[in-house]
Amino acid sequence: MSNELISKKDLLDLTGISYGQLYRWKRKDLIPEEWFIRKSTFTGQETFFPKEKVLERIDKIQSMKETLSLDELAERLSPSSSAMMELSRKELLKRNIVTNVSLELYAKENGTAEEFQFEQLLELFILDKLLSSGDISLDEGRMILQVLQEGRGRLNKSKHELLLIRKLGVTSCLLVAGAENIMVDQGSRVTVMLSVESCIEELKTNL
Amino acid sequence: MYKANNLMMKGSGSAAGGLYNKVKIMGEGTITDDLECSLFKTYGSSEASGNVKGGDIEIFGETEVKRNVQANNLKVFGTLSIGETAAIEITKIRGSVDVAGKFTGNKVDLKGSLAVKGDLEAEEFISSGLFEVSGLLNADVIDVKLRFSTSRVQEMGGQTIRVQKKGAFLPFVKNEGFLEAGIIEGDSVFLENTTADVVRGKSVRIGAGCKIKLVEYDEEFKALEGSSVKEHRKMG
Repeated sequence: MSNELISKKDLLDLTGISYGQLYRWKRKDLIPEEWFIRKSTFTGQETFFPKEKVLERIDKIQSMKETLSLDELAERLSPSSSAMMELSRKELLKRNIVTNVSLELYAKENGTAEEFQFEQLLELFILDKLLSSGDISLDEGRMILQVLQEGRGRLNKSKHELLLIRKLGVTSCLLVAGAENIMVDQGSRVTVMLSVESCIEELKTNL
Repeated sequence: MYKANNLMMKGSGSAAGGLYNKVKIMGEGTITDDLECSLFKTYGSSEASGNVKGGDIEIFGETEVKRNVQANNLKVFGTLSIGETAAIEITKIRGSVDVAGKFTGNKVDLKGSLAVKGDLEAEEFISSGLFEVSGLLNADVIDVKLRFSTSRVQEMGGQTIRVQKKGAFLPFVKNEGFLEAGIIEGDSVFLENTTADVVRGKSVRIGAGCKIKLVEYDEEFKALEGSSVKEHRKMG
């Protein structure tokens, strides 16, 4: 993802939204606080945004606000709220949210369940995402589940990054909070780097 | 919540936190832990060491909350200081309120004074008192009447922003209020007695007593008599 920034003025010009809307969306947490980057310019302080992210987000808000209220939108977009979302096993398969393979693996580890809470759904979703991308093996999937379950309850409080590092055929799985830059030695390879936050968002749009 | 007991302190007392129905402190009271109640009233002075969560909070005396305050209704006729953040639906301030962190709410009606170290976010911010916001004052409608002294805000943003000067209560006393701001941004902006670095908006009207370094506007710009605008640009 590029690190290009866009100034508030250009953003409003480009998207056609008004100051009132932008500030309202900020209040409702539709645009996260961290995206408001304050910088000194020759006219004093100005606010900038990460261009790609904010344009994508505004696009999403504009396309969904026709059918949803702002509060419902906030529910969907903010990672910290995971209100009453529960799905049954059948529903999950029917709506193609996860595949049967990951469900079986999950069941093997945790026993069979018919209903899934949001936190479980998230674990399942991440597992499925990685398995179907072909980046990980079943054994590694098991490891990821373990790590995710360890971190359960904390995942939606701050930003976490899920990492999978391989060295000489041995895999380690890490769950890191607030990881910006990660360096590994030459013999190791980072096979997976996944932002939990974006997974939560993706999952919510799918639900 | 409504089956919980009432807590009444007269004279001087101390209580642990917990869940109560009504909490009334007349005299001096200390609450040593988190408190949750439907009504919290202080006539004398009180201190809460933890968080306070209440339906209605009314302060006639002096109250200090060391951590967060969450409430539906807050009325302050005395003074209230909050050590962390405040999340209050409807706030009415006739005395003074001090918040060390962020203030979020729906409606703020200010006739006394309010100091917020973090951001202040509300749907409606109506003031004829004095305020100092060290972060961003963000509200759909910001309606400020300047009666006395100088209010300060780092950034102000919203849909409709109106800042007007209003004389003091007493006749013959020449006493005016002022506002100092870094950036003011809104769709419709009207300012009086305001000093600001940058004002941006769709429609911007700068009234008497203003000193603005730069105005950037989309549709309409007017600088009325008695104002000074160093530079103005039409955008887009």
